[in-house]
Amino acid sequence: MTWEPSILVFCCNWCSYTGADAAGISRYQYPPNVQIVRVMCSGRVDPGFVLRAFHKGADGVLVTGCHPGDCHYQTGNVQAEKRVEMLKVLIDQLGIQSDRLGLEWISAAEGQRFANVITDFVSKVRGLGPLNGGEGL
Amino acid sequence: MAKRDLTDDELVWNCLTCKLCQNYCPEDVDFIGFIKDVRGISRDNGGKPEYTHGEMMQTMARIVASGKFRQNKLGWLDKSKVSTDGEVALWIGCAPYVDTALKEVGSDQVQITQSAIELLNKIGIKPRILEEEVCCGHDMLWIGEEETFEELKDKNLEVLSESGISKLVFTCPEGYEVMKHYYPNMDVELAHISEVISDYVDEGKATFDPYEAKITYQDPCRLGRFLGIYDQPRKVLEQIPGIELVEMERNRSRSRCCGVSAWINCNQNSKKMQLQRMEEAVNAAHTLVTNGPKCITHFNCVKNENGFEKEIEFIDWTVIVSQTLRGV
Repeated sequence: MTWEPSILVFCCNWCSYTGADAAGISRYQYPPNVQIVRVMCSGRVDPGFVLRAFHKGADGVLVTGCHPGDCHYQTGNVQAEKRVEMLKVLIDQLGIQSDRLGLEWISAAEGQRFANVITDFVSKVRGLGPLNGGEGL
Repeated sequence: MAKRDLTDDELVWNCLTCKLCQNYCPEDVDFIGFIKDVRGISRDNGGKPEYTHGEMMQTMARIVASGKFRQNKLGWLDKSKVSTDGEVALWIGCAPYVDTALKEVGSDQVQITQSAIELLNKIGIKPRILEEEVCCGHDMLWIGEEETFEELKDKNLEVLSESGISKLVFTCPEGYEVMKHYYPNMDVELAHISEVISDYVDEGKATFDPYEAKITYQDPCRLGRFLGIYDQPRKVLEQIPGIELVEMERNRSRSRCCGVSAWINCNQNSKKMQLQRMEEAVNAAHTLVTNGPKCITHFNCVKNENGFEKEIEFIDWTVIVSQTLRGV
């Protein structure tokens, strides 16, 4: 069996999850390698969630939320951005390529953008190979 | 009497394992050993603590223990200050990870490690850094996660025996404690940096630059009650001109814990303990020096979060000594 990347995507309830819905309703195609976890806000994504995803074998993790300024809770996405920046350094120190973690802003109306972001991220992770393949001991 | 199911009891996880109770116990009961074992049993039955930081710290240890990734944690290291074949090594441990993860809280752990390297350089030692070392497993052991601890321990024992070093120096007491008491057949001599510097002071060669401050010293429970190292750090501090060392109300073997251990169950009681301890510190001095990198993190956290208004500063022992010790 050929290897397929398995990717975890965190979607915020107000923007990017609705964006994913919009992609579905409009029948925009995107690769089936992603599993979506709906959270109330991208600021809810604890750094621990991301690390646990990698520990349990996710090849990539994508955090998505509202565009800056559009957060339903004012600044949740700003917190998410800070955490993802920190996590990129941290996973690199742990020996996981930082490109395996992504952050994207997708509004509720951007169904096409959701499909594009997923397609791009899946192809990027596919290029990096399996999580323990290239960089493993 | 009705049986109480300890394996499903919050109290099992709330214990700080700080060993203060054993100080007072007239029957010499190994209470924290009991807690450690009950945690293991509880875990087997599906119990778990309230992890702090979203289980980030424990997950890091598990990722490292899996052995699937090559750690890349030494980016900050100045290679000219360390050696590749020396007999004395400095343990890095989780400092770079915690530094990255908790920088916002005020946890400058890499600074402590860098100070330790400088300090050793000043007394004529170019320490070796073991690139293949993994997490010491202290936190995993004390939350009852034996299997992860065993994996980490086996890896470290292999790394240590292959390295051919004769002495391993620590800045964090936790690694020291766990290796001394739970790693079998260690033929490497273990030492805390305060012991190394204290020996150097005993040789009569040490001179210090002045540091004007009234300071108090917090004994980390691992270094104090677990390893009995109370005098060495104090002795060195007293050598520094300008430092007035005063004791808090509860000190040495009676000293209070910084409120959290092994990154679990940080709750209102922890905060209360930390605030009480800070109050004790402020009554004695305005600078608290400690040897536990995590203690500093915990105190800084509660200070920032609860808006502790009185003037107090937390400095690591290694940092203050490396700033003041004159090189040879």
